[in-house]
Amino acid sequence: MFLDLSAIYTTAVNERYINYPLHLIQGVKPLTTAEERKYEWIDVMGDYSLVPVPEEALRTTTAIFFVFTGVLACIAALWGGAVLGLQYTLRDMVVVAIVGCLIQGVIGFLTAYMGAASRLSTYANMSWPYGRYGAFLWGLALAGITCGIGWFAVETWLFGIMMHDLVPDNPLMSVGVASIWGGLLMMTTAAIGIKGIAFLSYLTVPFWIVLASISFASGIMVGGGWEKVLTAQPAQPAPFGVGVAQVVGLYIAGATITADISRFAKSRVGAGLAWFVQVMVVEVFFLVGAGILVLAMGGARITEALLAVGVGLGAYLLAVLGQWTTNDNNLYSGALNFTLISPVSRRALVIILGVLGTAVAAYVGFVAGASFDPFISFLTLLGSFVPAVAGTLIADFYIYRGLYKKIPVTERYKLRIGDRIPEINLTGWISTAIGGVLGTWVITAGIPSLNSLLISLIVYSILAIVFDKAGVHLTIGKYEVREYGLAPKWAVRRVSEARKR
Amino acid sequence: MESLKRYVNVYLIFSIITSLIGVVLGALLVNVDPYSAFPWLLATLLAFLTSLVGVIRLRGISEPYRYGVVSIQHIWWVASVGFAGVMFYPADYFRRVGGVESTIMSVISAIWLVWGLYLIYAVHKETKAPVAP
Repeated sequence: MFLDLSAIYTTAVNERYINYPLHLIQGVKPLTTAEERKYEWIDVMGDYSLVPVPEEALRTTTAIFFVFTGVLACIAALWGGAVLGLQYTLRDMVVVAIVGCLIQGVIGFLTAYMGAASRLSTYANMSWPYGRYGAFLWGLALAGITCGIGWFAVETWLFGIMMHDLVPDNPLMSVGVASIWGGLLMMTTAAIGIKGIAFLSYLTVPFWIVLASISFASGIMVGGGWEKVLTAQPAQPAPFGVGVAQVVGLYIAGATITADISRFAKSRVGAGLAWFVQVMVVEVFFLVGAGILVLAMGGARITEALLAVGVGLGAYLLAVLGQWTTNDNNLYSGALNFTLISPVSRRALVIILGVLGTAVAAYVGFVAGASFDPFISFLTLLGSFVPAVAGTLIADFYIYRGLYKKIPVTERYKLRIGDRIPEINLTGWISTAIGGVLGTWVITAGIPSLNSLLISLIVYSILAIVFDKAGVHLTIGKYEVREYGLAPKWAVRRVSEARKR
Repeated sequence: MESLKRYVNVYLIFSIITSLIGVVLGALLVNVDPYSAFPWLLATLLAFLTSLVGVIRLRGISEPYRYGVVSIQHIWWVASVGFAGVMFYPADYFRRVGGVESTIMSVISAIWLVWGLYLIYAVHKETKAPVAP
């Protein structure tokens, strides 16, 4: 009888290969890492919409920074700065921008850290404080409508206006027509997913920062110089709190849904810092720069300033790429929300929502033309209610599960096969409703969006802790987590198709 | 891999030197027209700092995939600034204060962009690092 030494040797090598991190010793990349072996999820909706992001799909802090900044780099951010320019002197404008961005920075840091810890999207994270259907319904209000179809439509419409301003006599550049081709263009990277969005952001972000700075500098020059900016008085002076509320409202939805991108981050702190730095440095730069342009020129003529100094193609690309990097994220995020109840894939949802949003933008473009009013109204709406959702999420993750339950940070929103998540968790619903209503319509002092956030945060913390101590559960139904994450039951057929693949 | 590392290094060192030239040219323009000099300096300083940090970071990396990720990130910065430079340096706004200087920077920016994009592709192909890591 012969002893098969080769088999023993092979087995021993395999054992060693699996059990020891040889790649650390020899610099060899292992066939499978421990994390990859543990990954047990089936991604039926695409781009890890409803399952945790696996190790191999994680991205660097730089990539997360670029994607976040790509979202920020849009004409709407500059128009937000322009509103400040109408209301404040240069010094006051800088203070207002820094304070508003600091609030956004802190909120976004906390939500981005949360996403990197759970590796789940905002709507998946919301399943704990709101329940799975609650996550969909509140997410629908937060991102499905506002960021998804609504914000996508607004940005597409703004794109149409920008194109029309640049080339007023070309029929292809009328507000409605430009909205159509612009909206379809923006759908492409959103349909590809995080890879497409990150690629476009890498190409665009430094380009956009440089081009925007040229616009600011040339605008000051054309408008009469720096001396005029320093002595200029605002056309419509406003109290300090109004400006801060506007700044916070401008990007509060973005600060709330950072997890949609940060779930791909390798580092939790890195994800939070990527958000914080881009807000404190890049957003302040955009807001103040656009405000200065208003003080110098009397209006936020971003692309006109570029055209005036001969940077024609740059002006077009500034408009196109700026809107594109922002709007693909809006659509991406909106579609993520709908995956919670949809039988179709994330990519199909992007296309459906993109076509709907484009149609709305084109309709507004054809009917309303180039009116500024819908944008201002939209800002006000965003600034009023969305922060309450962020307050509830932060309270649940950091206060209830963190400080009170002492659950380790990576375990707080950890999706596990076999776990049961409530279909509806009324605690989150109540706190958000109270925070939104009181912060927006009842309490008149302070900053409405911050009031909403703090009230919902406090109410949720108190309710969750009191109910827990009393043994009361304000939940309806239970959803058992399966290998396809939080995907709806009617996605089961897609699961079997995915398995075959 | 070694030849790729050499190419990446050459690219980044080229952008360090050329962006430094750009910084000097921009500094000379400050007295002529500060409004033109500001974006000029911003663009060249962005390219200079990201290339410099790139060279320093890449020195200590031997693992191919990690090398690919870090190098692609830094090449993107320079390439994207080059993309902006191709758009704005030839404009009248810059030509009126420095005709020759703006032509030099236009050419340099074009090299940053085209060479950078090619290198991103080459690094991605050899190290399997994502194009947008």
